[in-house]
This record gives sequence, structure tokens and C-alpha cells, in this order.
Amino acid sequence: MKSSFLIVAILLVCFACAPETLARRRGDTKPLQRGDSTVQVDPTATVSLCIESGSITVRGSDRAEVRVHSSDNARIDVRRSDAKGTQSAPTRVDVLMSDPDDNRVMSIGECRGSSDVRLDVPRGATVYLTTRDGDLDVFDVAEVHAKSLSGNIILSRISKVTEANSVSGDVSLENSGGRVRLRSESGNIEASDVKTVETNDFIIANTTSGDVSLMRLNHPNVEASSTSGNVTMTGALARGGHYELGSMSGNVTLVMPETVSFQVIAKVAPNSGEIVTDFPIKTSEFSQSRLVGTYGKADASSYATLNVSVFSGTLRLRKKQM
Amino acid sequence: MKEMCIDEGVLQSYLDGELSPEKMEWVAKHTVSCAACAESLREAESENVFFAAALADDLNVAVPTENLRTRLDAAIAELRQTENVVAQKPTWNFSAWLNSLFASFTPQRAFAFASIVAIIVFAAIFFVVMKDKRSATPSNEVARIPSSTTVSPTPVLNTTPQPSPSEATPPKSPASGTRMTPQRVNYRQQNRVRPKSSDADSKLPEIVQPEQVAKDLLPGEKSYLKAIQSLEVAIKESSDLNTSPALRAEYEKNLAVVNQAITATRAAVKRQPGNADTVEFLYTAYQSKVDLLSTVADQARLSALSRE
Repeated sequence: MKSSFLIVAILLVCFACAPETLARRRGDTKPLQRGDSTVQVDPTATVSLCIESGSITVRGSDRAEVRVHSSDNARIDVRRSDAKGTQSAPTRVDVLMSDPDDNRVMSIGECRGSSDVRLDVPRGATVYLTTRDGDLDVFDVAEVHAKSLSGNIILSRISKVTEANSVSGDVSLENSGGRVRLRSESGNIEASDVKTVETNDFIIANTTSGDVSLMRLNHPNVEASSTSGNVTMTGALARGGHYELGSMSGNVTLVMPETVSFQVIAKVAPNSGEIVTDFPIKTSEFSQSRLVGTYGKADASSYATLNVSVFSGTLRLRKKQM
Repeated sequence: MKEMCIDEGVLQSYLDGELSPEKMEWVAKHTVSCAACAESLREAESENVFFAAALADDLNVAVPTENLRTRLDAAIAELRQTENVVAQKPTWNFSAWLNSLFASFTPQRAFAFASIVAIIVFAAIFFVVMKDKRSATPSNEVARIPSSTTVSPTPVLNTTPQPSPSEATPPKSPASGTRMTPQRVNYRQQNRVRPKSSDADSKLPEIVQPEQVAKDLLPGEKSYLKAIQSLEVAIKESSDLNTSPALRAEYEKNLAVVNQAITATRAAVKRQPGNADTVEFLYTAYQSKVDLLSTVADQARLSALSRE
């Protein structure tokens, strides 16, 4: 019988420890800051912030720290979410925010708080940002993943990865590089001066009823589409690049310098769309709704591939006026 | 009283020399006094001789001997006994098991058992903690690629542009190729009503729900409809979408746009069933709707999180 009591005692101890262990793991006991908070982090740390409403501004800097500033004295908890117990600087932190009068315990994954927030992060940081109503403005970081329901997303100098998603706001990106994925349902998308960093980088821009405008891209893989908006791309084509542009009821326009070389496959709906080109294309296939041909003097391997389609709009290949 | 006749098996054993010396002696005496048994013995003997001569080594037919029969009977009896034991096995009794368990437990065994249980419990806690951590990790939460990329049926255009070696190589001067003049060339269609982006929507046919054309679906269309249906259910279940007029308005507006595109492309497919490009337009329109619904569902879910 002694043995059975021993077993029961050990089990009771285990079960008694479990909730405490879980609570400690979640870090629910950490004190909170108000209005302003700063923590030292790894220079390539991942920083996450999700708020219910309000604008988020992020700036990259040379400092290996995350500084959070709230416009209206919100409760701030910068919580380390990588492996605890290490002596090194955190590689992953979650910024949790709630309103000053909100006394509920904050936990990772929740999106609360409704103040404007400014984040200063290391230049090599990756940031995950979500807001419901506010704008997102991110400058000079390595990687950004931004979501806003109705706000605009403005991104600049993102060096490696960009992912931005808005339902009704506009999305813009400039002076950036690497992999890019931009989407807005009703808003417009603009991307300019975006370059490739690695060979398999791409830029994808999709919208339902907004317009897509791409300018001065130095990217070998480009995809842009809109259901009812216009798609425009301006600039030179990358050597051997692959461009896929399309719209259902909008127009697609490519404005390129005369020196480009490309193979084009242009498709429109029969009796519905049209193809207009300034370039003397050497056609290999030409029908009411389809044009396949080449243009340029480069060798075959250097041709860029243009796969462009419009269902009921106009597809234009325009020469850029020098 | 006259003894009963010896059966065939015993006689055969007698001939084979398998009986015990006492029984051998008894059989020998009996066959002397019993004419019938003597006759049977002779017949058996002559049969043995006949078969032995005729078949020699090829056949070894032996009537079951007494020893073999005894062994078989014993084996059968043993088998039946075993079956009876199995059938009569008592049901499992928890208290009896517990008693036997405690009776067999030494303190050392109890400690070992408790240690194993403790390890299992700690492993379970660790698993729960790790699972909780994963679910709270923003990289999984925010950076997840919308499910639209996973629900796309195969006929859709590639979502990630990858240069195909075959496509990247321009066609080599086809025989039918014509060099076009370096002036502006307009491939404008005759008698075409040129749509403008501003009034394009008004020229498109009225919205036709996919259910209306479910009768004559194209290959792959069903997958799109299934994906769309599941996404619409997810969006309807989002309380946030129902309580946010602005989000609802955006959703309805864009939904109308993609539905119009589907209707228009579907009408074109109906006019030209064999045109692969038109079919591709239809699939693109479906994909637009899937993308729209995925985005809205994802955003609504995130938005709902903030309101919990």
C-alpha cells in the first residue's frame, strides 16, 4: 500500500505543477510598461505587433534594440518569445499592446490596443505587423509582413522580403529588393525601383478592383494582375526575365524602351479585347485574339518573355518616349 | 465364453511386430483357436506380401496401427481439454488485478513505475507548452500564405512566375512569320465595342451565380466552386464581417466584380467551347474570386481575434 500512496503522491505533484509551468511559459507574470518601452534584441530579431486599430510606423536603425512608443500611454509588454533562459539577446519578441484602461492579461496572438505606435527596430529585423483600421508605414528593415484591413501600407527600403496585404487600402513599395508579394482588394498597388537580390526572387502584385502600377523594376520574375483595374508596367525588361501581366476588364499597358528584346504571347477574348503595339513584332502566330511573336536584336537566351492577357480591355505595348 | 475377434488394426500391428510381447503372445494364441481371426490374419498377411511385392518402395500404405491410434486419440483428447480451458477462462477482474499488482510491488518497482508515469506526464506538459508556443508564433499567424494558394485547381495560371526554359526561348523565324512595319500597329477588332475601364462593368452581363451554371461545368470548375463555397461559409461565420459595414461593403463590391468576370468569361466559353485561351480566362476569373474570398476570410479572422 505504501507503494500505491507513493504513486498517487507523485502524480498529484505532477498535475499541480502543470498549470504553473504553462503560465510561466507564457510569461504572464512579466510587469508591463506604459507609453514607452525598450529592450535589447539581436540585430536580426523578429518583431511582431498586432493592434486592433491605429497606425504603425516602423523605422530601421543601427541600434540592436526594439523601442516601442505609444501615442496615448497604452500598456506595452515587449515579450521575448524565443527560447527562454539563454543569456544572449532575444531573437524574437512580441510587442503586446492594450488600452490604458484595459486591465486584462495580454497574451501572444491577441490583437488589442487602439493607439498609434512607433517601433524602432534593428535594420536587419523582420517585422510582422497587423492593424485593423490604421496605416502601416515601414522604412529600412530586412523583412516585412504587413496586413491592414482598411489602411494604406507604405513600404520603403525593404531589403529582402516584402509581403503586404490590404482589403481596401493602397499598397506602395519603393527602393526595395528581394521577394515581393503585394495584394489589395480595392486599393491600388504601386511598386517602383525594386530589384532582385537572389536569382529566385519574384514580385507579385494582385488586386481585385484597384490598379497595379510597376515602375523601374529590375526583377526577372514579375506577375501582376487585376480583375477590373488597369495594370501598367514601365521600364526595361530583365534579360531572360518572365513577365506575366493580366486583367479581366481593365487595360494592360507595357511601356518599354526601344532597346528591349522580348518574346510576347498576348491574349485577348475574341471580339472583346484588343492588342495595340508600337513595336514591329515578328509574328509567328496571329489571330483575332492571339498574338505570338518576337522583337529585338538580342540572342535567343536573352529574350524576356511577356505573357500578357486581357479579357475585355486593351493590351498595349508602348515604346517609352526618350 | 468365446473371445471376440481381433480387429484389423491389431492384426496389422501383430504382423508389423509393433505389439508388446504379451499382446503378441495373446494374438498368436487367439489366432490358433479362432478360425475367423486366423483367416483374417492370413488375408492381411497375403495383402502385405502382395502390396510389398507389387509396389515395393513406391508405396508405403499402412493401416493405422494401434500405437498410432493411441497417440492420435491422446492428442485429440489433449486438444479438446485445452479448448475447454480457454472457454472457461475467467473474466478480467480489476480488483484482483490491483491486488496482484500491489502484492508483486516492491518499493523499488513502485519507484520505477512512478518515475515512468512522471516522465509521461512531463512529456505531455512539454508537448502542450510547445503546441501553445507554435500557435502563438507570429510567423505562423501572420505570414501564412493565404489558403487560396493551396486550393487552386491545376488549370490556373502559375501564381509564382518561374521562367520556363521552353517559354524563355523565342520561336525561330517561322515560315509564316511576317515582319511588321515599325509604325504603330493596331490589332483592333472590327465592329468591336471598345470597353473603358470606367464603364466596363456596365457592359458585362448581370451576375450569374455559379450554381446557375452548375449543369455544364468544365473540368476543374467543380474544384473552384467547392473552394469558393467553403470560403464563403468561413466568411459568413465571421461575426466581424457581419458587424462591420465598411468591410461588408468592400466585400460585396469586389465580389460583384469577380462574379461579373466569371459570368462574362463563362459566356465567352459557351460561345467558343474549344478555345483554350477563353477557358483560361474563366479559370483566372475563378482564381480571382478564390483569392478575394481567401483574403477577406483571413482578414476577418484576424480582425475577429482582436475583438475577442
